[in-house]
Amino acid sequence: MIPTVGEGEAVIELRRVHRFFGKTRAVDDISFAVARGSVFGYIGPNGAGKTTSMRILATLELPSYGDAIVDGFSVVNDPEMVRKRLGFMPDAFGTYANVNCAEYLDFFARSYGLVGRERTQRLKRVLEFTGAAGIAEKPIRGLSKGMKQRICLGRALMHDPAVLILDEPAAGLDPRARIELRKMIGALAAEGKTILISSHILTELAEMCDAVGIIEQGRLLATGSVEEIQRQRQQHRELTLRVMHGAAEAAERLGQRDDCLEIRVEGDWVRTAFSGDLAAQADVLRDLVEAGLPVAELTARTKSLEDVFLQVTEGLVQ
Amino acid sequence: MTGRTMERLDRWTERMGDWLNPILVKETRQTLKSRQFIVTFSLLLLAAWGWTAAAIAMSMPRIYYVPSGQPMLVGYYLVLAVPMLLVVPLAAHRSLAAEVDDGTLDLLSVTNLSPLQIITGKLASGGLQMMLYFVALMPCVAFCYVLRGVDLMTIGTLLGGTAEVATLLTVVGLFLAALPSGRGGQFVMMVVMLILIGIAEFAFGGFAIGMITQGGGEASGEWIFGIVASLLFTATVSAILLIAAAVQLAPPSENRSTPLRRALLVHQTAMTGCLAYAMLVLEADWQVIVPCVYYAAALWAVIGALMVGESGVLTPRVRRDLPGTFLGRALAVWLTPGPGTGLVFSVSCMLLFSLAAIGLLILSPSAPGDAIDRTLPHALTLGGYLMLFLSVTRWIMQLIRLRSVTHPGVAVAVLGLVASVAAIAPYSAALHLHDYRSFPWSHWQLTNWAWTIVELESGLSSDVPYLVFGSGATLFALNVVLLGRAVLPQRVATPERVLAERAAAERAAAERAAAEKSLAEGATVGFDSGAMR
Ligand SMILES: Nc1ncnc2c1ncn2[C@@H]1O[C@H](COP(=O)(O)OP(=O)(O)O)[C@@H](O)[C@H]1O
Ligand SMILES: [Mg+2]
Repeated sequence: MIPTVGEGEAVIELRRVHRFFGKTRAVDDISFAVARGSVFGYIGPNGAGKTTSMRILATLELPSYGDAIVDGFSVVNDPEMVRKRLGFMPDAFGTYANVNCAEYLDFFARSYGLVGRERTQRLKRVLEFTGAAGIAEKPIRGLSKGMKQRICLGRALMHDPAVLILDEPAAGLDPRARIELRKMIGALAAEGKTILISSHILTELAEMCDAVGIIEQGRLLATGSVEEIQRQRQQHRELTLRVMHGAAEAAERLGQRDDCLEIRVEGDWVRTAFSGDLAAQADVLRDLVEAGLPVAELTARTKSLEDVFLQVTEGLVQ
Repeated sequence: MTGRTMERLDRWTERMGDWLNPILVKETRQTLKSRQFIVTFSLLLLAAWGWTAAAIAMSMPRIYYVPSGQPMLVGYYLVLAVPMLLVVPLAAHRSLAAEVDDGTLDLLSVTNLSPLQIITGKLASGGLQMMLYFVALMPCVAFCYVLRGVDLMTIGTLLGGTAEVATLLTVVGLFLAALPSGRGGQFVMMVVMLILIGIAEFAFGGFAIGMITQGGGEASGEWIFGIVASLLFTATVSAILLIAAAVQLAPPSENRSTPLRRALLVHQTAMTGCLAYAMLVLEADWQVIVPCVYYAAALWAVIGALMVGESGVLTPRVRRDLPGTFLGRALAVWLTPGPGTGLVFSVSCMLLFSLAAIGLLILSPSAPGDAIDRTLPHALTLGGYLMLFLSVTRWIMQLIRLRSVTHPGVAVAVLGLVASVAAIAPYSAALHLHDYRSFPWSHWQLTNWAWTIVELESGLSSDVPYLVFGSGATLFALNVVLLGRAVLPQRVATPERVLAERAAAERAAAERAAAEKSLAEGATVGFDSGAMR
């Protein structure tokens, strides 16, 4: 059963993809699917196999075993069909000497087979979308990282592909540029593009992705929305209650419930690992208040995303 | 009026640009802005003017009554050779190598550009630069003609030949840049490139200067044949190298073998044709045949090794494009990728060429009676060794492929190893047995191809070539029977979606062409009516 992100037909689908470099298993049996219009975040530390699997999707690398399907076409058997539908932004952006931004984009537009007015219009639209119209005449070497990243996104968008593969687009960007990038990706997703985006920093992606997959040493360890992963990995949220002069009694009442475990009392504070949902949490509060206990505070803490990430990958990272 | 013309010109260039290779458009923009080009171009002009002034000053009074075109032209050739034979090929090599280095090749690969378009775009850009250098030097060349002493044929051959050699070097540069290599490999490629350029400068330079000073070029049949044959050679070899470079850049699931095999067939056919014309019509010396057989053997050894090193697994993508009919598949089977078909393909090409060579000797009016007896041993021995070593190489590659994925290039190394061992092992053994004193050839040295070939001329017993050929043929037959099982590959159906997509793309292209046409007609009509008003 292939985990699918989003609803409807899958546009990106990896089927048991393996890629070996000698003894290194860069990608080791990865399967997942992403439905049209969804944004899937691909998270893992350096060397996890993100770039390799994205290059396989972009038809630049062949899987040692398995296949990847983009919009119904196999990257192994029909790479040209895949290429027409796919915009790829690699982690390193290639630039040319003696070329300005407009010429650079124009060249790729030509390479994608756009001609005449279609090309000029597309070029204008891409420059506007990426906010690079002001730097069109500037030489591409010597642009700031953020500007280069815009041009590279523009290049990937030149042929208006339905699928975007973005390899660590936010790496090395200042916060402002990162926010701009997030806006652009949001706009693209709203246009119905299917996006696969990678990062080694979970928080970078959490807000823009419908779902994330956590990859480590070539294996996909978990997939789902950020909340789903948190629920999967951490059944117990931590509840902390402050009960004025009634902590012991509160702890006793909580002990009668079966969704509260590991109850500890420290002065006015009661801590418990809690496995219920939000409704159950409200229930706990009502219980205590109805019993006449003076509950002054209640905080529920889910583990931070980084915690989840560390927990998910623990034991594999030395 | 001028505004209008300009506008039309603009529109026209725009439209032309759409049809040009995008790489050519980009590289031209880059070149015109690059310091390297500007410096080379200015230096070329400066050197040409400098030489003109110096040469005129040196031959001052005589220049009015003695034809002085020759030394002038030699100087201009030397000035032209630097950008043509050095700068342009190196720039093309660096330009493709840089695309690989900077990762821009990946960006190009995911566009609609085919690998062959990428390569030919680079070649075209080199050609454009050559043309600019030519144009810059044109007045000087015309000046030489005015000074008398050189005829048009010489000038034409000189310029054409320079362009031909420069093109070939550029193609080689692109080929070397496309070969898979790490950082260290790139340095090696650069060195190889420089050595080849050095050889070409010397060889062609010697030819060019000799031709200018001795005035080689009268329009005889032989001269024209030489030009045609050299053009055919350059064209077919360039095609092979360009296709070889392109398949290096193509996705690994692509059929990387069949286009190359076709190009090789064309090359061999063209060269055989030239040889036949030379032997039968021009009655060339029959002794050219033997070097040609050696050339064929060397070619098919390297190519054969590469093909023997191919993977035996046909990807579905390759099998889709197999001929549709059983007969078609049976005929095209030796063009289908794979080590077994590769072995048979290269051996049969070699044998076919040898047969053609012998046939030419029989037909040739000028070959002496013993010509065949003196050529056949070479052909048999070389064919035998080719079958022997390629068969062994194929077996070794089969073993290697059982354990790991390898590159066909490895097979060339394996062939080299096999051939070296086959030559050195019996030699060292015999040397040891003879207490390190000199000893004569014996049948123990049969696998020692180097010595056997050398001995062929000094009269080995006449059974040796047959022995070599026989043992080679035995191994070859064994190979084909044991491992070949020349099962016809099964064709697989192309998925409906792919067919539909292709049909749609064709329809769109046709529609676009129609729209273009009507637009162009509309534009002309509009212009005419405008002019009438
Ligand atoms: N071309 C290659 N040759 C050999 N090993 C490679 C190659 N590409 C990637 N690898 C290895 O595969 C693993 C995954 O790399 P990569 O996909 O780049 O990871 P990520 O993008 O997640 O940082 C690494 O161990 C890397 O060294
Ligand atoms: Mg990476």
